[in-house]
Amino acid sequence: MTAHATEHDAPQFVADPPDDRHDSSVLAAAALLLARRFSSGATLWCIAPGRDDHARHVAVEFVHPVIVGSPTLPSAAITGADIVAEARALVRSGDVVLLIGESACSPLAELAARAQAWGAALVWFCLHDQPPVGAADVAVRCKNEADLVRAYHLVWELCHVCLQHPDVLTGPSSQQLTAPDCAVCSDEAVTAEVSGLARDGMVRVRTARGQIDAADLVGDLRVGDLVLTHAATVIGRRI
Amino acid sequence: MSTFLYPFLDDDAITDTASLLGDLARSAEAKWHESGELGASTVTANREVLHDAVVVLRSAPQILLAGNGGSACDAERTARLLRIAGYRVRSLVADPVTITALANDVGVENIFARQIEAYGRAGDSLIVFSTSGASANLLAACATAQRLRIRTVALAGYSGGPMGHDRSVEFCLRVESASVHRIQEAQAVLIDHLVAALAPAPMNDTS
Repeated sequence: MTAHATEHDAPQFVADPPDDRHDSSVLAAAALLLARRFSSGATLWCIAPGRDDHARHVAVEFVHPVIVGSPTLPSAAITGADIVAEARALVRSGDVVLLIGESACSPLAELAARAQAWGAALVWFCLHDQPPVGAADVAVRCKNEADLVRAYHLVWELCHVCLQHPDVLTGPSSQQLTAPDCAVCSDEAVTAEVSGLARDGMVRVRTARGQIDAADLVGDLRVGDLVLTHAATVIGRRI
Repeated sequence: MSTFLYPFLDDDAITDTASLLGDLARSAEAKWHESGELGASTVTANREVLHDAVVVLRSAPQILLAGNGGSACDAERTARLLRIAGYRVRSLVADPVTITALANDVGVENIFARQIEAYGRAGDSLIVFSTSGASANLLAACATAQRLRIRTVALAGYSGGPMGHDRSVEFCLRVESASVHRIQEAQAVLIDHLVAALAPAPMNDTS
């Protein structure tokens, strides 16, 4: 790319050669996940700390499609000083949370950890690097912001193609929906978020399948703590 | 709709998830490549205009930015990057209170022109973003800017559209495409080149 210009030195605007090194299969996977969730009534929540313009751009693509005749789909950007609190209030089980930013961005890491407790699928457009393995249902790596725009445009287009094929809209649309049916007595510990404190060693926790009262074996829990539950019992902290 | 977006997909052949995902990935690959080629050719084709626009923008005491929809996000993104580079910028899409007041009372055609009358000064620069090159409120903004001796730069698709030959648009960075998404992607590349050429801001007297 060019150096800065003055009236006296002519800048050399040299185009970067097209870079085809990327993984299109993750774009297709993100599109199918979105289509499946939208067809089940999901809302898409877009979050890009420090880059709200991108979150709003993704949201407006789905709400006001550029192709006449495409359905409008529920999508909104979450912005503001405390995006975790905003997201906690807005995201419902079955929704999709779409994150944009670097893996080191602490609000994004926190949202990624909480999405499972909220029952939301997670798509992460990761700038410059890759999120930790397993942190998102689909991770799309983007080397710069121009690639990011290209990636989310293509996911929008592919999502609408998926929606034209009802036969493929049934099936798992996130890692957590492949877990056993029962959040209380399954063999796996379930991520939950403490939503209220009760007496007699009990706490109220929010899981992907709703609120439950659980016995607290950890102690000193606060509202908002992320915990592991098993058989209606809080057995450990996540963060 | 899928025929419109992806005419090369054979709908009849898609019977299961695996074949759909395979077809989508191959289609995305082709579009990714097409977008990359367009971005590169757009920079090359606009080299001289980019140079002239950069010289003007570097001397602007204030840079105003405007666009609609996804292009409003491009205006916001450019404002963010120029602010980081040290420029005094004002995004005309940032305040929903002002925009809805103007849209409701004087019409959506005037939501930017009216703000330019309020905030703009002679010698400032205005950058507008449009995929069609035909947005009436952006053309009105450029006309108002010209009247106030504010310099104007447009990023416009459809080979510039009406902005390509409008006398109030001083510098038009044209994208040779009629696809809204591919145009915005090429404009994203133009934005990166503009900002790289403009950063860091000169030590302007902003008093």
